[in-house]
Amino acid sequence: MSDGLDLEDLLALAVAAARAGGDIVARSFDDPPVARSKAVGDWVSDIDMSSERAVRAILTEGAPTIPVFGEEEGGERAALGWLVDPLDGTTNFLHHFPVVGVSIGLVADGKPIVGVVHAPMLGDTYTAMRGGGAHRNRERLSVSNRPAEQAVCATGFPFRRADLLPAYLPMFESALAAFEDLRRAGAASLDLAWVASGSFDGYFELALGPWDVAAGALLVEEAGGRVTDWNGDDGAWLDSGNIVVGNPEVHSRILDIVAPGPTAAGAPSPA
Amino acid sequence: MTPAELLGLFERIADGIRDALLPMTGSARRERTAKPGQYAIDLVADAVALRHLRGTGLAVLSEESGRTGPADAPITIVLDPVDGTSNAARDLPYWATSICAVDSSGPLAAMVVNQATAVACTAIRDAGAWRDGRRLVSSNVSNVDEAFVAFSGLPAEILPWKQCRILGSAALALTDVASGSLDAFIDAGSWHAPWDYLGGAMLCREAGATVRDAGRRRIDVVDGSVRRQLFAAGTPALIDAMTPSVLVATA
Repeated sequence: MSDGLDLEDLLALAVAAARAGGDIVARSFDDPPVARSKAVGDWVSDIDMSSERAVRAILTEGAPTIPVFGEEEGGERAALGWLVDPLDGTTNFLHHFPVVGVSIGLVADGKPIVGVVHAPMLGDTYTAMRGGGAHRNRERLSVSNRPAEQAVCATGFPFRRADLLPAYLPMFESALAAFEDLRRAGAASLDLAWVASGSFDGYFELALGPWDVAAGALLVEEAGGRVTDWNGDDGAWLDSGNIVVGNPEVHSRILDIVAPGPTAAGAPSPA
Repeated sequence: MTPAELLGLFERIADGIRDALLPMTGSARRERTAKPGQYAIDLVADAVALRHLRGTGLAVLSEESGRTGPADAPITIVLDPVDGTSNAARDLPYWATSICAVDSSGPLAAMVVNQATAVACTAIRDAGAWRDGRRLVSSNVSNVDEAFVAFSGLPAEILPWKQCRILGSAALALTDVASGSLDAFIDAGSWHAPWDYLGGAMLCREAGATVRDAGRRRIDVVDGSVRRQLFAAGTPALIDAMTPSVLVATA
């Protein structure tokens, strides 16, 4: 499906789209609008919607044959298509935390081939192209080589799926013991970007949307890290939203901790 | 020294630390010392701070160098040159310098600076807490299910709060409670020393938030051997509602 595509052109298009969305986010950061709840622990604001419209317009104009699926407005999910999170970390945005991202992934046959995570309040743009490496502002990225006992890993509580919390908490506690520390920054796309850059050594979370992870997971893979679901399957994480990433040692250690986890109990893809 | 003069001194210290550490990137930023949990940047930052404090007549209690300065000084500066060093070492944008001046009546003036963003918050006793010329006011959230909460460690009970964060700097988390960005902060163990929390706790109280040790012990102490389990919220009702999430330490 990706044969014949000019990935460099599509990456440049995604960067332009992510920055257009990011500009909208940045302009409203000091005066965020009122938000409404989509679901438990899941918020949307007018800025999410405005950013998605800006991203969608640029992607559609630049690549009119590739459909766009956005977190807020949906769209067509095709074998080749864009996945857009126009404001990842909406709760952070609403609380004036600068850890927010705009995430755009191009997926072909279930595999991301282009990814951009733009952090408008931090001034960083993370990019990846399958086979072309991962970069932050043109600096080549590689995952860390820290051993598990020195690792700081990111995670997220499954607030969209409170039924998974009882199974998740023992894993969280085990991870606290296995690693130097854990972080929950609140934006999955940046958690993944920070694994790619070596700031975090691993990351695990459940029940994410494909728009949350498509771009960031490619960053990790292209930076030399591993990406799987909670059962170690490297082909299932995009649909399930249950993701484990890390440098090879830390990824393996996380899998030891989370398996058999909530995935075994069945955590379907979020709506 | 007046409170305003103290804040001027604190600003020079924070600026000096930032100027010294920001050029340290990559392996220089990540270098550890032989002391568990300590990084080389902790010592670099401490040396900068002590250079500014030398000859001022102020006593100092620093995380890195303990007590220095005149033993009979009326004011002690309680200092964490780098709070959240693990974040700083990893280039994560959430690490701080925390400075608090304490006299015989308690905390007198404080500054907590996010060194990654250069955003500083200040407080003077009975005169409020401030950021960029705006007075800080803590949030008015009183229900657990509306609360945006940060914690360190694993709380005794996970309550149905709106969302939670684990951020890696107690000084900044307390500052974010003061500003209303966070509704509450929970320390799951009795881990934090006065240099970690005195600056942020003063900001909280001057902004209207409530700060407690989970065991109701005094927190305004200038003693490097003390550890407290910090628990802060924008409203008294929220701190009471969140009490089940706090495991009262016995240490």
